[in-house]
Amino acid sequence: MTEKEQIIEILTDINPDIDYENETALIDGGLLDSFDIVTLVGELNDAFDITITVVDLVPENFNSADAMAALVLRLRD
Amino acid sequence: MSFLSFEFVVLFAATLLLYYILPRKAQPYVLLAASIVFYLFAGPKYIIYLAASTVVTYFAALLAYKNSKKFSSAAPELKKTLPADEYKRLARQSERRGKLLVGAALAVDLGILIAVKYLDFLVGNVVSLFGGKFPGLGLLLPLGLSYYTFAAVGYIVDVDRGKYAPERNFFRFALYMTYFPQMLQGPIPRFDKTGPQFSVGHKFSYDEFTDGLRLILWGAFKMLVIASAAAPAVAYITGNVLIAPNAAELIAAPGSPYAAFHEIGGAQLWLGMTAWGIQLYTNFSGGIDIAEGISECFGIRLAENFRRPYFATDLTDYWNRWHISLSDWLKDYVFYPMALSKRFARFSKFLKKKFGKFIAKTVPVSILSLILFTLVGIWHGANWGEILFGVFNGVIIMISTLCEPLFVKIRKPLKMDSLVVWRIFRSLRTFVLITLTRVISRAPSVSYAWKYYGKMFASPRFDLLSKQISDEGGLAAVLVSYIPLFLGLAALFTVSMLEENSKEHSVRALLQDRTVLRVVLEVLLVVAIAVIGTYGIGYDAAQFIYTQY
Repeated sequence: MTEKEQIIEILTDINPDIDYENETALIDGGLLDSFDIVTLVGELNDAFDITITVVDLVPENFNSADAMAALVLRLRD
Repeated sequence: MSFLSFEFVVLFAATLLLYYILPRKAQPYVLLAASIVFYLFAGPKYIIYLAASTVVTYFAALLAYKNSKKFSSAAPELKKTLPADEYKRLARQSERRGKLLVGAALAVDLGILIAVKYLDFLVGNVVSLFGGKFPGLGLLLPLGLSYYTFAAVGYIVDVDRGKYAPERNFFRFALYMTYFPQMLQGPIPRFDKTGPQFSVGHKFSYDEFTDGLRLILWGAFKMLVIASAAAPAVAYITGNVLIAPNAAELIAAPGSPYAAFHEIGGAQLWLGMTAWGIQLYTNFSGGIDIAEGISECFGIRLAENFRRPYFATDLTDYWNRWHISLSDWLKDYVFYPMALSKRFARFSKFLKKKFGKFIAKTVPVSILSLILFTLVGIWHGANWGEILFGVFNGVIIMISTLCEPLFVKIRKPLKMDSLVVWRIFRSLRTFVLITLTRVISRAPSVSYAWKYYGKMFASPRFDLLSKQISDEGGLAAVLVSYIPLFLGLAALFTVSMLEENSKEHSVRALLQDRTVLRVVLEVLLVVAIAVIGTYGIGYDAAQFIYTQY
C-alpha cells in the first residue's frame, strides 16, 4: 500500500463523504475543520512514525492526499 | 481618533499625498510617522506600552534568531570535534538561551496586557473571596492593546518556530506593530502576510485606490445607517431597566428614585438582543471594511475578518466566519500547540484504548475547544459576563461535537442536508444560539442575565411591548422610524447573498465590468449616509464598539 493510499484510508475514517482521490481544497474549501486536522495529525504521526509540528500545519500541506503524502515523505527523510 | 472624524480625514489625505509623491523607499516611514501621529491622538502617555512591546519584541526575536543561527552553523563542526555529551550540552545551552529570550519578550508583551487589562479583575476577585473589597487601579486601556500584543506574540513565536526570519529593519517592524488602519479594532496582523507588503514600493493604482474608497463607503453605510438605526432598540433594553418582581409598583410610586426606569418583558428582550446582533455586526464589520479600505488606498491588504457570519450553519462555522483573525490566531498559537503536544497525544491514546475511537477523537478536542472559547471570552473583557459568554459558546460546541454522530444518523436517511429549508433553519438556529450567549455579556450584570433568560423563555409580557409601542406613537410610527434599518438590512442581505453565492465570494468582482451599476450604487450609498444616516443624541454612531477590546 502506498503512502497516499494509507492516507486516504485514514481520511475516509475521519469523513467518508469526500472524494480524497481528486479533492485539492480540503482546507481552503473548508472540508476538514480544526477538529479533523487534530485527529488526522495524530493518525498520521502514528501510522508513519513521524512528528508533524505546528509549523507544518499550513493549508498547502493538507489540501490534498498528494500534498499530505509529500509531507509524510519529507518528514520521514 | 475615529476613522470617521475630520482630524482623521486630514491625516489620511496628508499621508496619502506624501506616500505617493515621495520616493517609494520612504513609504514605510511615511506610514510609520502617520501611525505614531494617529496613536498620539489617543493619549501621548499610552504610547509607552506600545513602544516597550515593540522594542523588546524586535530585539528578542533578532537575538534569539542569531543565537540559533550561530549554533546551527557551527553544529556540523562541533559534532565532529566534540564528544557527544559535550555537544548535547552546548545544544541544550543554545536552546535554553533562545527560550529565555523568547520567554522574556512574551513576559513583557503579555505582562503589560495582563497588568493593564486584567489585574483589577483578578485581584478584585481574589480579595472578594476573602470578604474584602479592592477598589481597583482603574488603569485606562491603551488603544489597540489586545491587537498589538497578539501581533507581537504571533511574531516572536513564529520566529522561534523557524517559520520566518525576523525583520532586521526596526522601523519596518515598528510599522507592523503600529500600522494605524488596524489599530482601532484589528484585524490582528500576521507578520508573514503584512510585513512583506511594507518592504515593496507601491505605485499608485487607480483601481486599487477606488476599490479602497468603495470599501470605506460601504463600511460607513453599515456603521452610520444600519448600526445607528438599530441602536435605539438596543439602548431600550440596556438603558434604565428594572426587573424586580414589583417593578411596576416601584416605578409608579410617588417620589420613586426609579421614576425614569421602565419594566422589560421577554418579547422586548428578544427584539432588543436581535437588534444588538445587528448593531454589533454592522458596527464591527463596517469598521473593518473602513480599515481595509484605508489600507487598500496605500496598496496594502489586511487580513480577512468576516465572512458573512450570520449565514453560518452552526457555532463552529460561525466562529470561522466572525472575527476570523482572532479565531485563526487562537488556533495557531493556543489550540494547535496544545492539540499537537505529546501530553495530548498520550491522553488521546489512553482514551482510544479504554473507550474506543469516537471518544478518543472527540473528548480531547472538546476539552480544548472549551479552553479556547473561555479564552475568547477573556479576550473580550475582564468581567464574568464576557468570560461566561465564551464558556457558553465552548459548551454548546462541545455538546454538538459529542452528539454529531447521532445528528448524522437522523439527518442522513431524511436527506436533510440538501434541503434549502434545512439550510435556512440551521442559520436561524445559529443566530438564535449566538444571540442567547450574548445576553450574558450584554446584560448589566450576570445576575441580571439569569433574570433576562427567565423572561425570554417564560415571561414574554406582550403587554409591556404594546405599552412601549404606544408610548412611541403607535405601531405605524414605530415601523416608520425603523425604515432606515429595514432598508439598510435589505441592502446588506442582498450584498451578502451575492457574495455567498458568487464564485469569488466578492461583490467587487461582480461589479468589475458594470460601471453604470457601480456608479448608481455608489451614489445611492452616499445619499443614504447623508440623508438617513442618523446621529442620535447621546449616541456616537462613528464610535467603534470593538475598540474597547
